[in-house]
Amino acid sequence: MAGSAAATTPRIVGAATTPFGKFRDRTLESLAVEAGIAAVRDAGLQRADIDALFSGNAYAGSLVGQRIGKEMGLDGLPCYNFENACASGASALAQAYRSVRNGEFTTVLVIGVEQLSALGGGLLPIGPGDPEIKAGLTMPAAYAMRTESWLSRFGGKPEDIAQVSVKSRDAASRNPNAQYRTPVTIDEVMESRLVADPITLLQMCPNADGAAAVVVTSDPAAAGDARSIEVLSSVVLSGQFFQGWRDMAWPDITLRAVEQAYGSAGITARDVDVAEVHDAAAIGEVMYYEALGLCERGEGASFVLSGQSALAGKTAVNTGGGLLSRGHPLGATGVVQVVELVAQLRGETGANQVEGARVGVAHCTGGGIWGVDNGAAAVHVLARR
Amino acid sequence: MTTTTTDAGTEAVVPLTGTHCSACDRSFWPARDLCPTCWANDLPAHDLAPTGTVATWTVVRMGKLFEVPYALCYADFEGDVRVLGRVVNWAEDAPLAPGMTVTTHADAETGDHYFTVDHASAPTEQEA
Repeated sequence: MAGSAAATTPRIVGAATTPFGKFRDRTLESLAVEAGIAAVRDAGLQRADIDALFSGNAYAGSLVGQRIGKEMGLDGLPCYNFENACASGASALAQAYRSVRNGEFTTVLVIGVEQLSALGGGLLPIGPGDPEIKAGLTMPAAYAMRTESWLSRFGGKPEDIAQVSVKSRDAASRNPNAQYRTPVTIDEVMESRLVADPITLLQMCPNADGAAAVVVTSDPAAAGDARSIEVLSSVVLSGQFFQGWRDMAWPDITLRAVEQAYGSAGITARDVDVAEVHDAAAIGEVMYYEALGLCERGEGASFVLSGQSALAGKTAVNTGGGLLSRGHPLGATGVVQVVELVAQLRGETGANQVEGARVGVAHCTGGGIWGVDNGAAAVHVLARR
Repeated sequence: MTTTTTDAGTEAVVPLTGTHCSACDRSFWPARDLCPTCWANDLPAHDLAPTGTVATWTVVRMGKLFEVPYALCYADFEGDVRVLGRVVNWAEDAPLAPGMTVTTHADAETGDHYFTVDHASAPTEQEA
């Protein structure tokens, strides 16, 4: 099939997620299998229809895909494992998309999974050899300095940005799979524990366990399936190294990935009906509204304050609660974002449905290494058509 | 590496020693042998200026490596080198601000760098 002239637009025909939370009594494999089987069944397919397994995970060590595959009878197939920090699952999807489009495989199961509770509590362990970690950097501190930089440049108050957390919990209150589903007020967000000035605990995403899976196929039958969702474009980039000055309030890796993804999909920001962005911290969502072109630069805080990113707003963002409330099991995040968008584009999200959603964008980015904005960023554009 | 004493006479000023690629006119810290642009692999040592300018900052209140709370800032040095470091003379009632001047020092035991800030160096409204 390699070299086939007629590249096929890959479609997602199955999508599923486990609940996200802390599941210390479960195994990584059991979470992945639960999502994987549910996604295959959602596609109306069977075990034997899967040609390859692509796995995304950050912290569980080697051969995660094989450990999953032998539990669910996908052993013996081509199996690839992807680690790209917070973009691990999205990177697995990106390569599944490419191999299906190129005709190497017809149908690929993509599973993103993480069990952060297995690492113990507290802040995520990141790069012990990194000079900035050695100097005292924590992940919340990095987002805190982005927050300070954004506020210094554009004005406003920390609580303007913290409004993202209020919107997030509101959406999560209607998502039974979210880790934190109790609505919070802006006062509760601001009065939660100060983690790194001016960021409080409720402005940072929780560590979570969970898995999500999608089935990507070029089977022509999928085009006639009213529930199938087209993948219009898929971009994964690495961060550029800056030894010196960089704008902490302007995410260069995301900007480059978004530009490529929109260009390749033939869309503009105006076409986006619903978006999933990487709100590992509240400031992230504000910056990514701007980077995705959903609003002008410097207007991210007013975009959320005015309700433009809520369900009934101009462009609904993080309708399942995002990383902040749904939870952030790193390897699963890039996949569950797509699961949420698939449900939106199918019109199957229930209380969080964006009416008439036709185009969705999934964006995840992360990985803290010194001198780069983020280690890896992924953007996928999906459409119902 | 040269060591001098501040006017206050309290803490030794120790410049950060990185490297410099003369072909690309790029300075690096931490020191690295390889220039990522031209791949010269024998970059000579180069001391940064002992003072830099605060770009952004925070106070870390949850962390394991150092006793909390502690202040952290990114400071920009001549030659386009940005360095993250702790600011040891920060206090709750003496916050930092972008534009302030920091001076580099080295821990007597580990040699690891840290900053002190000149609180009087806060930029005025016009400058900010």
